[in-house]
Amino acid sequence: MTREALDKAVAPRSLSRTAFGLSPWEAVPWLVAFAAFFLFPGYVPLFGQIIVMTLFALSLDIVVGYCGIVTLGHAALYGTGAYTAGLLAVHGWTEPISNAICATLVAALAGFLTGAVILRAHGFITVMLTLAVTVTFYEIANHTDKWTGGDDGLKGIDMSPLLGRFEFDIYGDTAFFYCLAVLFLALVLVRLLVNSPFGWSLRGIRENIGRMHAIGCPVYRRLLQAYTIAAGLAGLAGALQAQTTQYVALRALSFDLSGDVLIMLIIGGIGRLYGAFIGVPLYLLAQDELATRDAANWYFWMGILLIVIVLFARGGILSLASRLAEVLARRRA
Amino acid sequence: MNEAPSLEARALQKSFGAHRVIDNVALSLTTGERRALIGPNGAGKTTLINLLAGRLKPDGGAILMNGVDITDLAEAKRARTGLARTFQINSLFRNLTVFENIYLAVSEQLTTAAHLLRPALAEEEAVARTEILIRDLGLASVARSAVQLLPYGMQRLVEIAIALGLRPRVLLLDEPAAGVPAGETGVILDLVKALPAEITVLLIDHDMDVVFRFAERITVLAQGMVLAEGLPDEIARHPRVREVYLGKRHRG
Amino acid sequence: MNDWSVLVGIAFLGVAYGMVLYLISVGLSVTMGLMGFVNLAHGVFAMAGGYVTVTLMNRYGVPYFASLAAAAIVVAALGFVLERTLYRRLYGTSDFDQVLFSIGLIYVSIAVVQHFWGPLTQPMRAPAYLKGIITLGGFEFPTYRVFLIGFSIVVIAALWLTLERSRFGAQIRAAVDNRRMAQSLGVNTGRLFAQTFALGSGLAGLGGGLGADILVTSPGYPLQYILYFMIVVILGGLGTIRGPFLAALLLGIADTACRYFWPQMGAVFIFILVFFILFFRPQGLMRRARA
Repeated sequence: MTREALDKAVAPRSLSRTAFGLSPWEAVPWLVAFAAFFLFPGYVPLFGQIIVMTLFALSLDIVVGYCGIVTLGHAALYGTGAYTAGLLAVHGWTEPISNAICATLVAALAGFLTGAVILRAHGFITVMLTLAVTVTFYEIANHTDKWTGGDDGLKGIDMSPLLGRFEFDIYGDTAFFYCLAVLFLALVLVRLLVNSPFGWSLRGIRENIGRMHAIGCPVYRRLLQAYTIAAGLAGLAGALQAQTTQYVALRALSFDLSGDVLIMLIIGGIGRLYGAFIGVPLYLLAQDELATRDAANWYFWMGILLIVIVLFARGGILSLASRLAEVLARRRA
Repeated sequence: MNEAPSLEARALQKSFGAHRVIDNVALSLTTGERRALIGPNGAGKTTLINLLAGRLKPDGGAILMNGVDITDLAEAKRARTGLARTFQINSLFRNLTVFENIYLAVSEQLTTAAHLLRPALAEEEAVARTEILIRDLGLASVARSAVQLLPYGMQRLVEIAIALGLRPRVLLLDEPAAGVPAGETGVILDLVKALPAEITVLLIDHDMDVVFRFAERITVLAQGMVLAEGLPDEIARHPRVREVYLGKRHRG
Repeated sequence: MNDWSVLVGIAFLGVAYGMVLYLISVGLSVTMGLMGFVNLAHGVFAMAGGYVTVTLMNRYGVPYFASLAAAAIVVAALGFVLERTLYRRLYGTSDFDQVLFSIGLIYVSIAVVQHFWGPLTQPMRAPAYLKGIITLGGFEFPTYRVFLIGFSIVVIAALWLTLERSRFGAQIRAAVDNRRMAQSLGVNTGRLFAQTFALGSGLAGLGGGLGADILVTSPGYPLQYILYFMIVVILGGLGTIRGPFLAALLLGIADTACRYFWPQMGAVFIFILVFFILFFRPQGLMRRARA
């Protein structure tokens, strides 16, 4: 073995790196969140949105980054959660936590049913099916506008105070901490999942699906379980969005949103647990700054960015960071 | 002695388009038997393994394991009932470590792979079994390295270790030493010879040295059909076999 | 009698629609089978064809047939350039990368189109001699649709002849079947890919121009219609040219019928139908030529 190969062989690159050992870096997102809350009080509603989107992107990462399934239809699950939460609220179920749980379960069910079909196919047919799902859900919502408000969206979502005490107001403070707490719990869950034997087997499926069949893994069932969980979390994000912004737009079910959240995730890096935490804030903050004038312009540069990333920077920021860390570590050694 | 064969194939047929690749192949292995499957290139050996393992469906015939018909059983289900196989060209989880590669198989077999919330490294039984396999195969020094960084000979060992992680009753080895540098094939051979006696082993190989030192019985496949089958001496003397195959590859 | 004419009308419109779908999708089928590339952005070429045709006619008064021809040529050139510069870097990469790239391309093209033409649909004005109604066998059909079907048949026949008789066509078929074998036989696969891609894009551009009033020319085009093109290709069989023809006709008729009888939810039924089909036959409806 050459010296270089030996070096590489000795430096472990493994799943288990984030297993037990909590890295100090993991505290960063939460510290940043608290700091942002106190330093930029005027932006708190935007931060709330970022937190919700991060949850959404995290759920997408399970499907794309850990299962290795390309989906262009994750918004269908997000929107299902959003509309469920909204419709329940509009019809009287305004207690936030139970409302959110219900929306999560409905989205998980939707994920289970659509996933059952989507996962039977492979390759680009799967991609196409996810697109078909999102278009179908979109059209259904569009045409049942008596309930969903159609193009105008679902309005009049008025949630009761959280835990009976904290009102959702225009300042967005309650919403901020509510969403942050949910995101935290979701991250704990996903982190456990990713480091469990189940999570490892998902990585195995992504690495070499053929061998997983050969070692007796019930691949379809495993993927469906993961997809259902991811769908539930996406629905939870949608529910939070509905509850905190008091409005659900048709866009929540659109391909546009699916594409956006995919881009956010890719910027940060897929399959690394924290890609969402990096990509989402970057994207949304940049969009807030730059896209107010010209939406078409924004999509032009997003398209270019995607093409550039695919050609030159596949793993996103996190992979660039880890490559940098490796280079630095070797220089020091 | 009335025990059902460990692995049995009856009248297997498989065609790709008009080309009949497996033609009326029958095979019967007793528990713990060491059988070698040899034949010229293109004889259909790997196809036969794929049929036995469930990667391909036969056009006709049946496959039984311990008397139970598994012909319609999917590949993953067969693996769960104790049938493991290795691949001629490594089929590893290239970006994962040696430990993780083997662990995946072990945890599937233990069915702890369905556990959602316990850390993988906290599953003591799975971890212990994985460590034992790593030690037994001499992979301890590279256990935490990504498999794609290993030299090919070691990757081949991982390839076999994954199959062994399933604690199979029947093991199908497709040219385990293929592609391994000449000096390192001994390690593979020793490993194959040291396999537990209860496992039924079907081995494909071209190296006659390996075949004759390993096999209790040999099946010769040519053009998709069983040309001959019997004890190593019988096969070595068999005129048709010498003509078709051994004559060109006889060990010096 | 009235019911009959409705059904005949639907079938007729469906066939016209199907022809357009086929012209656009056949290029996708061949390039996906040939290069194995998941080109979700294929709709961009059809869209470009629509914009070129409509702009030449409306803004510059170029005659209809000249506009169509220009659309086909311009879009073929565009396809050729994109293939040489961008697409070929991604052959052999993962589905994921290809999908991402396609989305990027779609976003860029939508933005460009919206910048220069605005967000609204471009109206398609057929030339006067193609307007009106023709009466055939007691039924009335819009002249333009009759022309569409006739013209498409001619183009499709020419395409099939080319692919089946010419050396170019033989090379494509060989390479779809077995790329490495084709290479070892001396086929310059690099050039073949570029030419095939250009042909597929050009046909898509032509289809986009011809069908500019059925598949309306607007910035959202690639996203709106890619599902239909993909359905044609999947149901028809990847890499083939006959299967997609049948699939396109079936889809055209089914979609027209659904939209007519259930105007509210018609669009959705198609997808639900496709869902069920793919659930039971994930590899598509037509039997693949290869094993």
